[in-house]
Amino acid sequence: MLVTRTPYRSKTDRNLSWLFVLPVILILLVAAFIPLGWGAWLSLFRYKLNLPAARAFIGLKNYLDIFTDELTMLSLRNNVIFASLSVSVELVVGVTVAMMLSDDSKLFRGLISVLMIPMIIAPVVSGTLWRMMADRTYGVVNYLLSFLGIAPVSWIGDPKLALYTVTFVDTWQYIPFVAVLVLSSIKALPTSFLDAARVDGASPWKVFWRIILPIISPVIIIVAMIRFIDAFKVFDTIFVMTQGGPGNATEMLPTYIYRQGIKFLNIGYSSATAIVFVISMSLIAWAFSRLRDRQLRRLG
Amino acid sequence: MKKFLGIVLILLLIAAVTGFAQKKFAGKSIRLLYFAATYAEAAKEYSKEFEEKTGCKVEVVEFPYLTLYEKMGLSLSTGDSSYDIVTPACQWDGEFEPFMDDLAPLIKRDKFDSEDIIPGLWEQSGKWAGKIMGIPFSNTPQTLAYRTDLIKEMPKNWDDFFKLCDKLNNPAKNFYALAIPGVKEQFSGLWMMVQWSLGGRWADQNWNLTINSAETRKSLEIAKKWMKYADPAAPAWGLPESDAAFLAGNAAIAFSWPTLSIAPNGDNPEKSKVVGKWAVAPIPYEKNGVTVLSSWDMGIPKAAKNKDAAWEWIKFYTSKEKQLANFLKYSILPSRISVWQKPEVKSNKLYPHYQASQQGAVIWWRIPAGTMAEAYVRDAVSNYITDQWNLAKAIKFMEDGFKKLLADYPPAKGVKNTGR
Repeated sequence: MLVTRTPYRSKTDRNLSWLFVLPVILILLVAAFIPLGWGAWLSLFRYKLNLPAARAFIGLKNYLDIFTDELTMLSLRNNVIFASLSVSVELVVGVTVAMMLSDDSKLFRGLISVLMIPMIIAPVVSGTLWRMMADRTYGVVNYLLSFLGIAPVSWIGDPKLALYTVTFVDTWQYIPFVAVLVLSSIKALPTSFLDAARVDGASPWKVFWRIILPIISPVIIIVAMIRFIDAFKVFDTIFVMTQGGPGNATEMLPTYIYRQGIKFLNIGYSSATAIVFVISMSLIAWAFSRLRDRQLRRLG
Repeated sequence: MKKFLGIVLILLLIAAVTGFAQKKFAGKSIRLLYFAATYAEAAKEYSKEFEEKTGCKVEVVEFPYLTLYEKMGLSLSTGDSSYDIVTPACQWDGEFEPFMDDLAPLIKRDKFDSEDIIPGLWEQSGKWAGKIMGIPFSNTPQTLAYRTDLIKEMPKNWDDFFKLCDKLNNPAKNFYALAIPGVKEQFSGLWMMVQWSLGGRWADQNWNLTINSAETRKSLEIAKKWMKYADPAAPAWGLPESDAAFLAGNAAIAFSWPTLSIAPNGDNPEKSKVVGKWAVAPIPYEKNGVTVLSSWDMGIPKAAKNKDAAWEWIKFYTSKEKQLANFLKYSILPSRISVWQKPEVKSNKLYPHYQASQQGAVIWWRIPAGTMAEAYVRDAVSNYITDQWNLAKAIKFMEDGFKKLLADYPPAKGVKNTGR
């Protein structure tokens, strides 16, 4: 019987390990946990920064208010639609693009660097550009569509369309990110699998669906997690394109938290919303990790 | 030789008294926080002259309106000493007053000619609960800019206003009766004007809510009707886009702050297609005619490092001479009575602003919860005009929001509602 043993580590080794980890722990403590703890503490107060005298301990009332605050709930709904839709489209299109680019032809290799352009533009810049391009009257998008006989559309002025317009911009910007990561995992696949399948007469679709996709699925799950959390944190694109409007049609939780905390200096309530946001994001990250682990176990 | 030495000595003496004399604030520097508009442009232009006069270097830091409040609020409330002068909009006075110096002792010490400042304006801008926290330097009631070749006289009531819009509107030719900044931060102010003009308020003098009224309902309906006569892109437009549409000749009336863009550019052929064809007027008078006031005052934060030099700048920038220059070159409307009386000001296209402010201009609640109250208005009005909420919901949202704010952050004892 094979017996595995944890290698023996002397006390000095263990102490040394802690010593090496200590700087990271200290940095995390200062940069993440102390502010988070301070935020959690502030969330228990009714506290407006410019009215320090009116500060009062109110326990969990800020947290209860979140669930009755219509705009918080509306922002959450918008956030869920935005993140789910953008990540879904990014994954489908990103994987498709990655498959196309996995061909080693010169043309596709050249295309990779072109496709990267949206990703390397700062969201503030791309948001500003799209805001101008999407203007109903003066924007280039409607101008080009007019050649197809399409009447001008108010992309960011119509509340029914604005959410989908900002989602499109996010999708346009991050498809290359998904494509590049998925492409690198496809490139890392052992060619013997694929060759064997082809010799056995598997169609390209079957090779993709039965072999490539299952093997790269843990990578896709991680990419989805990163993008979902990132999309949930969207701020700059919304801020420059719509400021959350028209009305509150594109208001997201991060813009709402910013509005409460930084614009209205309403630190207590914005801290409570931020804490709920952090907890929700942590749970989502945990769920994605579990999904990835399960997928890895299935792959053996 | 003696004669030569004598001349040298006299020259040195003259130089010591004049050129080589140590200037009052030599070696010092002040940092000013301004609204990124003509006000900051003017300040930057004058900074060299100020340095020559006093020896004090001036750094102008500017932010657009939408972010200025947070920059100022965070700086003041955290005791940050980065700025020697801040320039709050009048509606922020009640929030920032605890962090500002009282200027009364300096006014008395230097015999600052404060009697020339328009008294009603100063009450709304720069004074809070008996304390002088700032000197107003710009007094702009919101007005309309209109095409004089298309409109002979602006209507006096909203019914006639819409009849005129019917005549002017021509979407097929990409020409609209109205150019409107529809983003909620800008649009809410427009709605406030209408509510006031009809005689409506948010609350009475004792803070009893009056927002749920016939005037509120009618004013919301009017604001929504405007959108029928505006470019469909307007809900996404800020002031720059709206003003640009007017200057491009694509609209007959602009709901704007004409002093910010239309006045400085309207008669510049490189930037305008309406040269010589525009004027400003107050909004339809209806019952009250009262418009929204945009007024900026400048004061010294308690945490400021160079308070004497800062006060010197305030005197310099708000002087009669500079206010006249501000008006003529930058279209900044004066806060001094004597400047309004100057012939070159009286004959200027912007003079109707003075009449508008004589009719009365007020801002929203100046209490610490004022900005949050205005945010409830923004959301309600914007969601209503874009058909996302109905009338009842919009009004209830404002009423509930105001109730909560007044309960959580009640006005200090004795503070009356002098705003909306």
